[in-house]
Amino acid sequence: MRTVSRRPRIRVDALLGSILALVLGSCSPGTVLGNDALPPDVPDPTHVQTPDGALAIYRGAISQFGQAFGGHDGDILSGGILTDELQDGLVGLAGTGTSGSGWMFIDARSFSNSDATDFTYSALQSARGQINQALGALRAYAPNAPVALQGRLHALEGYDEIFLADLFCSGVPLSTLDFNGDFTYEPGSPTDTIYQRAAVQFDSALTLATDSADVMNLARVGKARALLGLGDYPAAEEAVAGVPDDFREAITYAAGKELSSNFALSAWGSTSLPPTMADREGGNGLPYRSSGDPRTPSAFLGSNQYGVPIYRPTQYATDGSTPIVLASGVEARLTEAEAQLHAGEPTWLPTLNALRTDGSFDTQQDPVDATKTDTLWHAGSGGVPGLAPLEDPATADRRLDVLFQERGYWLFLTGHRQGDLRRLIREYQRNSESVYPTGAYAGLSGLYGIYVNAPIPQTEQLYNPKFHGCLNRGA
Amino acid sequence: MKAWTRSRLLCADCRVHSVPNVVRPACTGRDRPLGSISLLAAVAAMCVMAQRVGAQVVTPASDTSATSAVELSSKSGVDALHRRISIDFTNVRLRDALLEIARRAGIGIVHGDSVAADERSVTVHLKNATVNDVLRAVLKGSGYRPTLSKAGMIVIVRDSRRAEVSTGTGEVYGRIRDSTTVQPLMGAVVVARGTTLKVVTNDSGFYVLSHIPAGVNTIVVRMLGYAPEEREVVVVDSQTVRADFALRMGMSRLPEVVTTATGSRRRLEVANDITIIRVDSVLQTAPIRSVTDLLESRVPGLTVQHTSGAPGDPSRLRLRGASSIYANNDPIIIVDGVRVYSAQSDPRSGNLTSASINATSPASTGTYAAPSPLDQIDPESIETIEVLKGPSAATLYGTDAANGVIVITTRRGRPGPAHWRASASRGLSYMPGQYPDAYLRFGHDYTGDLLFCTLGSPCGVGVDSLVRFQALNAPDLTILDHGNATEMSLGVDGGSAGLSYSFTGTMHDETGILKLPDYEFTRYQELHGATPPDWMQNPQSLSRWSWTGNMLAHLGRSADVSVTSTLTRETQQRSSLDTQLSALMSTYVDRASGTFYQITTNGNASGNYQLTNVLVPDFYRRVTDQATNFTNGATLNWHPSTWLTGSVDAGLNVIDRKDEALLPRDMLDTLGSLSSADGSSVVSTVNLRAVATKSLPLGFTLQFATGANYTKTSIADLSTNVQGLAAGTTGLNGAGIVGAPSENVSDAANAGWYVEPSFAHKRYFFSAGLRLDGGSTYGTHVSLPTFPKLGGSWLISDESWFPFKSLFDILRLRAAYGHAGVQPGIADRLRLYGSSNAFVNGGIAQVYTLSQLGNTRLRPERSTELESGFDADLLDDRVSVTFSAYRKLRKDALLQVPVAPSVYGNNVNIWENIGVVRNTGVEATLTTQLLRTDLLTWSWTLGVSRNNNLVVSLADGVQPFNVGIDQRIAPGYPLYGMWAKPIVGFADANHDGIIEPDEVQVGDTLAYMGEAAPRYEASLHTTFSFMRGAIRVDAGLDYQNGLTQLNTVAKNNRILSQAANDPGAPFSEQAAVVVLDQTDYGLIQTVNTLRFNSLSVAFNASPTLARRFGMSALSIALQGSNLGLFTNYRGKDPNVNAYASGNLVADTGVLPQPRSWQLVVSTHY
Repeated sequence: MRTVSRRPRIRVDALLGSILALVLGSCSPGTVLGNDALPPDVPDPTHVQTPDGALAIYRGAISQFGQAFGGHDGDILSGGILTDELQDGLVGLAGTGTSGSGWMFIDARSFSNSDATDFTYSALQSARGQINQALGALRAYAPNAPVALQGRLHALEGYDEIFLADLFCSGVPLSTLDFNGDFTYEPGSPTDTIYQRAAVQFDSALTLATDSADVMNLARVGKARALLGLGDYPAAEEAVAGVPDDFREAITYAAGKELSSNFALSAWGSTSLPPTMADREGGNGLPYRSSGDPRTPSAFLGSNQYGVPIYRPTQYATDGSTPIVLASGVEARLTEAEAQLHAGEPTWLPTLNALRTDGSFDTQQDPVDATKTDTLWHAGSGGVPGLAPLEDPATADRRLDVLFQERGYWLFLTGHRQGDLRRLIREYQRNSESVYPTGAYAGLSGLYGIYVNAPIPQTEQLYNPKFHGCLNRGA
Repeated sequence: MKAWTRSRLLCADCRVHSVPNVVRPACTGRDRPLGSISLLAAVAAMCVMAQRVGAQVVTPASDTSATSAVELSSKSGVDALHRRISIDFTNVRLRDALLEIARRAGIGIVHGDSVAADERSVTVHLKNATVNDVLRAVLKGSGYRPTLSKAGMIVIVRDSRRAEVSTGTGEVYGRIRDSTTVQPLMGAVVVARGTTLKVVTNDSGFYVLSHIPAGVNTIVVRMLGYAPEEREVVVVDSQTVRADFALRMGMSRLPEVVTTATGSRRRLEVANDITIIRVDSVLQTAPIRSVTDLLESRVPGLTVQHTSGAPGDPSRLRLRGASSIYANNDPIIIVDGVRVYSAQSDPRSGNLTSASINATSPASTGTYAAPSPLDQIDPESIETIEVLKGPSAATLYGTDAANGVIVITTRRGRPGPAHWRASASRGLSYMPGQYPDAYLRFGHDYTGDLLFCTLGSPCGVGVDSLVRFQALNAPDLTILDHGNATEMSLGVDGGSAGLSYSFTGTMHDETGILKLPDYEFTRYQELHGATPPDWMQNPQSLSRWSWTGNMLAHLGRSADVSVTSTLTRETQQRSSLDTQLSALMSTYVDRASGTFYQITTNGNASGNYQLTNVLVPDFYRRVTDQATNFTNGATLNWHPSTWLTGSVDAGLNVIDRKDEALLPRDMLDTLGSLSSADGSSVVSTVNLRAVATKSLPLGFTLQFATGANYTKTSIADLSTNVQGLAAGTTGLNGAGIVGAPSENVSDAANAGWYVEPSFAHKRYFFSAGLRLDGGSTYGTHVSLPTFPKLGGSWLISDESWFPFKSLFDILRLRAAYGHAGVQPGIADRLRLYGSSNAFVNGGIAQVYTLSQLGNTRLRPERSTELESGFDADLLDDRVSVTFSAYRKLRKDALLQVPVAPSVYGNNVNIWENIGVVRNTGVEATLTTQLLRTDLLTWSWTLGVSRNNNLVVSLADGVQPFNVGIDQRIAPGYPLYGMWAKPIVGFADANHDGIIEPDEVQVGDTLAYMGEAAPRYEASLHTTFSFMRGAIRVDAGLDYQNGLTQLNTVAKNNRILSQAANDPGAPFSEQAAVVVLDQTDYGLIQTVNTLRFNSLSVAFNASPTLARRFGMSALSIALQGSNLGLFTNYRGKDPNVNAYASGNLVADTGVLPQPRSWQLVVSTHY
């Protein structure tokens, strides 16, 4: 018979004790779950809670505004293509393989839904959000920083809102993003409301920036621009009264793609999709090139396959580094001239002629790049070659044409033209078909469309429960 | 009254002699062919009973032969104990009482001499009682009890609880065979019930159980896929008894053993429906190239969404619907107790360089996909896959398991000599069917220049022609060709009682179906003066080799340790030729002039054409993903006693990836560029568990399990790109411009502990559980909720009162309830600023810009699931049914919600607890064996599932929102449902014969159009086995219904559609196309799909024939996949619709699933 061997006695108590210790130990996962640290690719939020951090956020706001204004997808490019300043490079170039640009549909005023202006919308709204973060950060973490910094931010937000009102349909939602707080969706605001809101921003800037003449002037010109948008000409004239002729606020850009270059880099520095300088676009456009006006210089690029010459504006260097004027004494004078014309004062023409004859263009070479020439006007140096004094056309309509023509040339590719054309419709009762490019549009084998502004991106309607589309696609 | 007789049976005598590790019975000469097995077994059963009880057989017949007795007992059926009779005994002698019971019930009863000699008298009065109850009443106090032998006879045996203790030990040995093929079964588990003695059969199917206590023992044999068998044998001290078993392929799944978080359990005791896939059986019957192939259509409730048909491209797996709307809906994967990296649909699932499949192509799907970690596991190395589908089953696996668990067990070695297996396959693949035609309408202007115009655009002077074309269907233009695949696998299993091993090595090499057209080949030669490199000519390839090893060592009688190691090296290659499918769809070739017209659109209703000499514009970019996947794990099991076991798992899974996207120098007139990324994921696992079992009064057994586990996942990816490659190089060195590197690092750990008490009765099984988790993301600890679970099952068919015993062999009812949760990432709560350099105020400065809005109010999402159902075996185990219904509720569901651009521009998201999401559904599996003869067996398995996904409510302040252009989250509708503004009417108002945009009325508000996942899915697998399995035919069909998706290909090629160019197109189609800039309504379609998914015809050589070639087994199979598609879908393939990451679906026109055939030769030595 076999004997069944007995197994060693098991220390059950020890085993259960071990299990219990294990269980209790696991009750405190902190003992086994590692140390306190954020992932290395996540920026530590506390780093922004310092004066330096607040200033970095401020610089971020300046940078983002610059991109929204004159960057690759900025207001100047979109507005320029929609109006008569630029035209899509595909015009007349069917079959060259450069298709794929959404600009064609903007150019033809045929966009009814989301389009390339989505990027401009995004950039402008992003800049608004960043400006509010910067305002909050300066107040919270950099109380000793100059208050004028906050004033500048308010001014830039005002401009940002003007761009939104100028370019997009009535009904742009201005949702809010609190500093370190939540965001609140807002319904679409009528265009007038946005201009009013922008004016309030400029007022805030004027209150905060009393020790900075530059910011004060920036805010004054901006406020006047907002007031012009509201049709309040006297107030606009009053706002810019103190702005000197030689005031100039320009946004600076870097050369090349790595940093914040302006739209000229993508527009003309690339081998594809070059929007070209328009000339009498759609019949109503100004003859920016053919007039030979020194304020709108251009260069011959070449001919397309049908032999049509293509030009590019040379106002901005193709490496994207040229500063772009945001506000200036010239604009202040133009505002005054418009107010005077609107009021029936004969001074409007001398005001305009003073700009043409009492200033000069800076023809100095760029100190860094000898191929670049700054063609910006400077006040008070005694006359501009090639610009004869204007004559009074005698009729109200023609006077208005002259005024807006002057604005068109002086403010070429600075983001003003789109607002001006809409104002011609809204405030001066011009017909959109007499203001915007119209007629046959070669690039689409069709006609120019009917739109005078850009739609709000579809994503806004998808995600913002308070937004239900444009309030009005008219001017 | 019939005469009753007693007969004495004589038993066959067998001898056994052993050599080390091998048991070879000496009585092999008594092996019987099929058909005699059951008789032999019955005789053997009576034999051992005779040994046990003295061999008295009481029958109601006069035939005294053993055969007659067995036949009679067989007629009695397996439910002899449950027949109902009435008795009225008053002081009747026990043996006479038994005679009378046998007579009245018409059954045979076997008892021993001791019973016959028992002079006691019994007094029992029962009406309409079962034979079992009557016998127990009669035998009460006698020390005997009735049992039912497998042969169907009632045997009166000594009650072991009262029996005198037998002394000494003996051995039981025997051979296990397949009842149909008579092939010996290796790996069957043989246990002596009530002991810890357990062995597995060797490669000849033999087993030996030693040290069996003398007396009556129940030997149980289990093997996955077979119905278990058990038999009582009498063991006499120092003697050997033989017990052979012939296992039938089981329809029933209940006896299977499943792996749970607390260890192995009989499925019968688990209250959830757990799908088990026995990989060996699938590999023989279907073309399998990946684990995803193994899972697809074999797991009711699992939806597989394909990203493309390219070799190695991953699929998205969803169990019981999108259970979470968190970014990661992937089930977790556990291999031999070790967690492996399983995020198959997060952004890392794409190529780490973020190489875009084509930034401008309408077929864009974002980044190139990379093979999933799941598919890096070699199917040949797997023994079983178990799929736990929801929180009620996965509670104890922790918070990560909320989306389900895939438990993979690799092959185990068996004691015995080395058993080699080898297989080789060679296959080809191609694209079935034709692509739909495209249309172009040509005119000319007054100058004679050609114009391209649609119905809605002016066509110059007039329309010249309407052409139909499809370059993809033209052999000389298409990039579609034949692919091929080669796989070779070699494995060995073996070992001794103390140490067993299994090793598998597999090499897989596959080339996709894309090729460079001859035209482009020649053009390349002319341009570059050389032939294109191989990767340009045949860009799609997948190369993988893997090695898996498992060793199990017994450390004495009470412990064993197993070590698993897997290593896979995989390289997937693609190129930008992938993107040319869409380019070719819109390329018209004027054969007369040899001109290529490439039509381009920008998503609007107009397009442009380009006259070109380029057929395929871009095939110059090569994208590769190289992954090395290493998993190492060890499990220590300790069985210190029959009531206590403990185990420890520890393991590490490391996946190292090196991805590249290369544009060689001088291609596309550039100096070349290279994006390069290195990434790694490391998953560490430690599991501890202990299970104690104790018998309780009233037949209850308590099992108490407790354990803890710790999992840590670390991710570290780094990518960079350069432009301007040095001449003659394809690397980073010497490059001109080096871009900013991008880093993705994360580090998260989870730890938790649990307890799970379970109570079991013969018919009742009940378990509860509680898990507490802690989580850490970079050390910021969070306490997670406590997750409870509860489950029970009831073997109702074993109840004496169960009225349908003649129909049901087994009927089990079950229900389970469990919780799970998902914790938001800690950084999701933070408002973060990114740092960069920018040009500000005339100089370069550091700037901070907002990079993440953050949401400080985020809460963990919490999921509960209630699952109930039944399992039934019917009609003598010919039919098996499993049915489950579930209700899964996700509260505080987390979702990354897009923020409207008015807040901070485009592409801003925020995590929100958006509300409550519910998945309800049913799953059923029906397995039957309709025919079971020597000549032919026919069986089939039908799996059916239905899932109803619903966003129950949105949290306060959360409004319905879109997560894609047409996919929307709205209460009362499915998650990611398809929505669009409806076309409410159209009419040709101006009677010009075409529908124009202003003749179509589009509704103002979005209308719900359907779910983005199939609502109904079904799969049918059927097997015909001829001549005892010599020839076997397997076929698989898949059906899906209710998937609604946008035909993005048609949308992007709208101007090439018939509706846009042919006035003869139906108005409804014209209407759908002309308003596409307002709504996608007309191109969103709810799809029904029936796919003939697999066919396998296999020849299995007889053992005799195999031995002639020196093999123990040989099979040759021809296998095909994707052999037919029957659908109402207007696109090419509705089931290739998933992006590499995320949860959205759309048919974006990437490569559909090819059709493939392969020849497989499998051998065993």
